[in-house]
Amino acid sequence: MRTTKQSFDIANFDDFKAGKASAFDQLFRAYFAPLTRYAWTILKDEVVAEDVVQDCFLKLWEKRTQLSNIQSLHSYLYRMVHNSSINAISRNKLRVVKHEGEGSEEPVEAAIIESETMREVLQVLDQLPPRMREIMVLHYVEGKDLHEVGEMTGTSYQNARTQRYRAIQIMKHILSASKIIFSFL
Amino acid sequence: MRSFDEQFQPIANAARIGKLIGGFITHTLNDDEQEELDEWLLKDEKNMALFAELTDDAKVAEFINWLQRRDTEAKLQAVKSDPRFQPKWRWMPYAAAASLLIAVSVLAFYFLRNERKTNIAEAPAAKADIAPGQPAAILRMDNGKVITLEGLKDTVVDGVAIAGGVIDYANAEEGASFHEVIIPRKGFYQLLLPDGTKVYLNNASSISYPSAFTGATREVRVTGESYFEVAKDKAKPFIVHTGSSSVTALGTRFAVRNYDNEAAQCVVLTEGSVRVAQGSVVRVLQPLQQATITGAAMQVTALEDVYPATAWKENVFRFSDAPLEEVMNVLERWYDVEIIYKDHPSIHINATISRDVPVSKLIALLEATKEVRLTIHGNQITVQR
Repeated sequence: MRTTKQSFDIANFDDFKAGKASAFDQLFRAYFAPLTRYAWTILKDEVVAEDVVQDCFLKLWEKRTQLSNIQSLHSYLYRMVHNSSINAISRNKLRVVKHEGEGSEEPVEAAIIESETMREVLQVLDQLPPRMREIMVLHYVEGKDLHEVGEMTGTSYQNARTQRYRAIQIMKHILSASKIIFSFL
Repeated sequence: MRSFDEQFQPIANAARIGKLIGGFITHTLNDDEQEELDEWLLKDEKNMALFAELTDDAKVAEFINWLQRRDTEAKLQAVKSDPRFQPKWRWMPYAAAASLLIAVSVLAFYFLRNERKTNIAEAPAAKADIAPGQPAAILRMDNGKVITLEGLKDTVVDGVAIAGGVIDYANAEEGASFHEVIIPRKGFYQLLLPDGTKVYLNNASSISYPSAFTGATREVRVTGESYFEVAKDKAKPFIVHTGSSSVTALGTRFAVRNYDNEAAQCVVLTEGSVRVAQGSVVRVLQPLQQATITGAAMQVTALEDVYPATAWKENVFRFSDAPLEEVMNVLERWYDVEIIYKDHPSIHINATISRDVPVSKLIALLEATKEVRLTIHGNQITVQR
């Protein structure tokens, strides 16, 4: 994973409009994975989803001078990716698994929420030092317990635990929560 | 042609919610943002369901997995080598359009603000409410001395130092006396035993132990709910007595729960191994196993997750498929209230929520099931369908 901080602020936005490649890089790094996720919820095909998003970034770059502010940039990207994904369904003759909002003209609210949730996680994750990120990923994604993580990263169990603890402090807990998660059976 | 607002405002709203949920997961929300998220959650059960889905451990793991699988740098280079990626200075013709867009966004911002204000105004006014518990403990020594630990100024009592509300046995004088730490309702506390074992105590609980472990074993007795991180000492087994059963450990972590008003005692192991004994019945637990003792019988079950048994020590309520009565028992102790049942709605609750909230917050969330109504009168909460 990247080590650069993934965020995009007003200064970047002005640079982006002015055509600075560095601002484009930053926007791309911050949004590529979450937007691909959005496209994927419609397309259910990771390769096509990535193509669609790459194409949208090029279109956005060509239209960059028409953009007004960060908020509209945001919304503009999602709308573009949505429309391109719908078009890509017929172009690629993809068989799409039925889901809410399929083929709809309107972007799917729940999918935007999900993608933006992911973008926020990405931002925080990318701010972790590489070692801690490695331990978080091994622990959470690959389900390794801390003894295994220790062996794989060549650190002691105690060290892996401390690193994980510090990573959690930094992320202020990626998982277990403090306020509300409520669902009912 | 639809207006800018119609096209983009719903997206901006959804993106805002996503940002709040992401902030919730990464714990980066401030109070206002938390409030904003809560409002959205309470607006619709669908919101609650989506939120629960997105913040589930498995989902977060999936997010990280998804992010890992993207080769963003390679794709970025591919895009930048596309012929369409040629910086062009052609923004003059668009200046007018751009300023119009800015004007419209300012308007959108204005309306968005107004909408938020209305929502706040419509939120129900706070009625009777009860504050959550906080750290509280009493130390009783066998010479009859009673000391309130929380908020206590640093002091030395009978050769034992108490600093920052924490009893320090490191330099305790030889000759063991018995100490008992009692946690009232609405309280919780953690302490270090003379051997370095860390103990978390939940509300309405107690522990008694010698001020020095001089014998061949380290033995303590608990009531209520406790969590142990036992200091390793293979030569001296650590034994926790509760009710008529005992848990023996060498160096490990486990939770013990034994409230008088609950039928069963539970031991949940999070790390290492322990031996649980009840009369002649002896079972050895592996991590992620729970021993449930009812009368003379003991049953060992596998758990998917130990968090429901340990969340309280992080000041979090975690209910996993918990019957309403169990939830109300927990609230009874944490808010020091009396629960009165007019009905017994048979609902099961799955929830994770900070314990550091007034009781009204929990009531609002429980009532969002639309299966139960809860009314506060003084220190009584009435349960109705």
